[in-house]
Amino acid sequence: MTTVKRSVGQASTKAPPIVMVLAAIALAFLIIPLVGLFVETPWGQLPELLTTPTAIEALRLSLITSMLAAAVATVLGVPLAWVLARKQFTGQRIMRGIVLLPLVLPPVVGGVTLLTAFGRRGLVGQYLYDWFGIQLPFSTAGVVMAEAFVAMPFLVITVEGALRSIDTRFEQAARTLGASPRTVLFRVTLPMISASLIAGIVLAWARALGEFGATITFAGNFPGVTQTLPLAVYSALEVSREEAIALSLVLLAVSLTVLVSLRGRFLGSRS
Amino acid sequence: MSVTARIVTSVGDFHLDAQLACAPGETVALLGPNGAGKSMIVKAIAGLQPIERGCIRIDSTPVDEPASTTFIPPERRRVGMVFQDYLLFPHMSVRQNIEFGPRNLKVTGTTQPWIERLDLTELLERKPAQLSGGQSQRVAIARALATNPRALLLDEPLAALDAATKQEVRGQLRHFLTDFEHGTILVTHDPLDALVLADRIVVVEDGRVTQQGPTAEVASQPRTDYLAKILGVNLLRGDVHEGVMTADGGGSLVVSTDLEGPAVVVIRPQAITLHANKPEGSARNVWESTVLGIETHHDQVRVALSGPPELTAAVTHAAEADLKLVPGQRVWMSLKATDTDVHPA
Amino acid sequence: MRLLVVSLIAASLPFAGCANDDASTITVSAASSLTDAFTEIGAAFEEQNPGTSIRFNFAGSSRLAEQINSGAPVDVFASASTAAMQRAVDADSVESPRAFATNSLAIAVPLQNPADISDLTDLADPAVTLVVCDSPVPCGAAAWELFAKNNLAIKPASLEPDVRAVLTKVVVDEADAGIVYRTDLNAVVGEVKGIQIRDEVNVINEYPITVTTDAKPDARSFVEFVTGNDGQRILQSWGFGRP
Repeated sequence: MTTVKRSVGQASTKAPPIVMVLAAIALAFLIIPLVGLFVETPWGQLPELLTTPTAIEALRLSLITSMLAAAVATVLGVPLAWVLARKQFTGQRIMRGIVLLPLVLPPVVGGVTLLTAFGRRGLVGQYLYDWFGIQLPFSTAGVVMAEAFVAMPFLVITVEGALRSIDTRFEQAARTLGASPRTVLFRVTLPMISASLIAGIVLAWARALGEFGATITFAGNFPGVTQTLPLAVYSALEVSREEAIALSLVLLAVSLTVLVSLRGRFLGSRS
Repeated sequence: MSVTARIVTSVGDFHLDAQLACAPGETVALLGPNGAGKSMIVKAIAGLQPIERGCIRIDSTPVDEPASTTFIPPERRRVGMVFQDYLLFPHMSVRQNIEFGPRNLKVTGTTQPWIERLDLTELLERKPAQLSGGQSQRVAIARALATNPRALLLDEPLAALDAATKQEVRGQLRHFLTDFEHGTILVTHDPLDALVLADRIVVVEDGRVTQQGPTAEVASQPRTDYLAKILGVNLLRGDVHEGVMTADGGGSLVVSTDLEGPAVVVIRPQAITLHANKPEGSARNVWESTVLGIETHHDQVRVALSGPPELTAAVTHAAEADLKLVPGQRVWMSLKATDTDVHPA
Repeated sequence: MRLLVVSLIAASLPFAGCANDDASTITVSAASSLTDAFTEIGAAFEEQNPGTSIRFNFAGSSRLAEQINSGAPVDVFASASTAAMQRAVDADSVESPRAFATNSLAIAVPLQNPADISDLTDLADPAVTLVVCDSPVPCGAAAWELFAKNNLAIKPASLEPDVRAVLTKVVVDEADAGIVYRTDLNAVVGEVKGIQIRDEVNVINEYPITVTTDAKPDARSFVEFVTGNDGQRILQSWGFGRP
């Protein structure tokens, strides 16, 4: 007679073996590249590779632009999420589709569309250039735009989901207590979704940090101005694998820290 | 403060057309089945549901009058509302919840009196999640009243409580409302709430007011099937001619009245007696009936009898045992004409 | 269940890239400036050698060298500069190269020439938005050599990964000017305006070609074709100079 091991506490669910096998393969698929990176990292040279002017410049630029992009995504994305969650109007589904487009669009395509809109011969960009002499491509502002473009959907999705999940009657209760719509937003609605809002902002920031295709296509590549960390990695690949790997490690470390700190919160809209 | 309202509005397929008034110091209960439109009425008074036609006045000032495109938004109406689930802001402490209104309206000195009057001093730093049902209700009331409103609206205030707490809190609420100087409109589907707490009852069914009046009057003279049912009395509609009521649904009763014409007759279940054999006596309504169903309550047994007209009788447990009542059994029922209450329809 | 696994493996086999695909495909990594010329050469070679097909991989030469050094399955490498080729030679990934063409630089400006460029020295104006290739790329290295040779202090607006990217920025009129190869101007006739740079002040790039150390035997015949009459004729028709 076979004895079945009991687990004290939670009842364990017995999974069919194929589930465990596929799960292991999936995990391996994701972990092996990371292991490969770690193995190939020139640990000894790391300090000097990461302190070159290019590396420092790229890191500084990346941090600044990604934070600005996250800020832009938040200031513009929260109201957008609010309208999508609270208002009913025709074409809402199409609007939501458009808002989510940068999520599925190849980033380079995103960069091309930004050029057609904001390049100096673009729909809007031509006026910026002809009247004010402003050229967004090749500028740091252009980097922030490209990053905000790809990052905003993350914020909008997270916040919209959270807004839909809270009971709107709280907002009604606040109105009966003398709160103007603005007060309701800042003292009731946003605090109630604070966990999801923070998760959305952090996700948007992480996405902005890692953006490459839209940045290089729209903003170009120049150290100190538009060469963010991902672009620096790409450039480094032309010269030295070691430098590329070292810079990749920095990006990896930052991204991992962000995701671990979220602790799966971005998966749900409830805090 | 007084409230007068004529509300005509539609949401989807549901049409509401109701008129009501509430005088200062008065407590009016809006009583009706779920989905009748009662909550919509108080939401309209609070400003959370704009009306399509009609007029809502608070202290004679129109706050919602589509004809003159007058609409005062909820935050400026100075009407306090307590919601069915209390809706205490979960991210704020009890104190912050209560101070929320005064802070918005820039009034001071109003929170402390209510905190003391409703015995909330010990709970101030707790979060809503840490409160019991009864405590939450008191906080919700304090929060609504801290703004010094001109009226109080209570939407199903006891619905979220369990049976035992409900009894106790109802008593406390009664005590409170008796001393409360402003007008209160209370929404409920539980007739007991209306009977205990309200001075006047307005019965709302399917978007219309079907009956209204002082509590005692409405309770003893229900004019609608719904009201009769929830108050637990028999209600028959029909035509009275020379002391005999011919019921619309068939059958007839001898009643004690001078009225002629369309009428509504109320018969308390307790007035109907049941017998194994044809009884002697002066009762004018005696016939044999079949037991359709038996409902046992802790203090009485209600027996549904076949007709026409179909009636419900109430007997004691002992009587039920004596008669050995079971569904399908034939029994004799007896009802005195003087035990019927006839009203013109 | 076992059937599922076996069929999954069987289904994926056609997609697994094997080191030696089929014996009659030659993989050529070539500098992006060779895109048009080599595509034509490839077609001509396939016509003359039925059964053999050429697969091209165009990119900046320095990147291509890195790829080859990392073990990319390439048979032939045609570089836009000896420096980039040297990287592959030093890593023992290729055999001895030989020159097959030369190229020099030119300025590409948008059709409207918004910045009114007429000469190399006009590029020194800080108001001019200039794009060049990234320094490790042959076109970029040559550009900096060009500026040094002509004593010009230039700050470009962007360093693109390859010369075609530079061209694109000029074609869409996002840049006022771009340093490209003379041959690139032939590829985008009608889309940009070309400004020639006189030979005396110009930089000449020598283009070497070779087979990789683990190339297929057929690969050599492609190299011969490129350096032979047919290849040379096509190259010169696109504006390349003799080696």
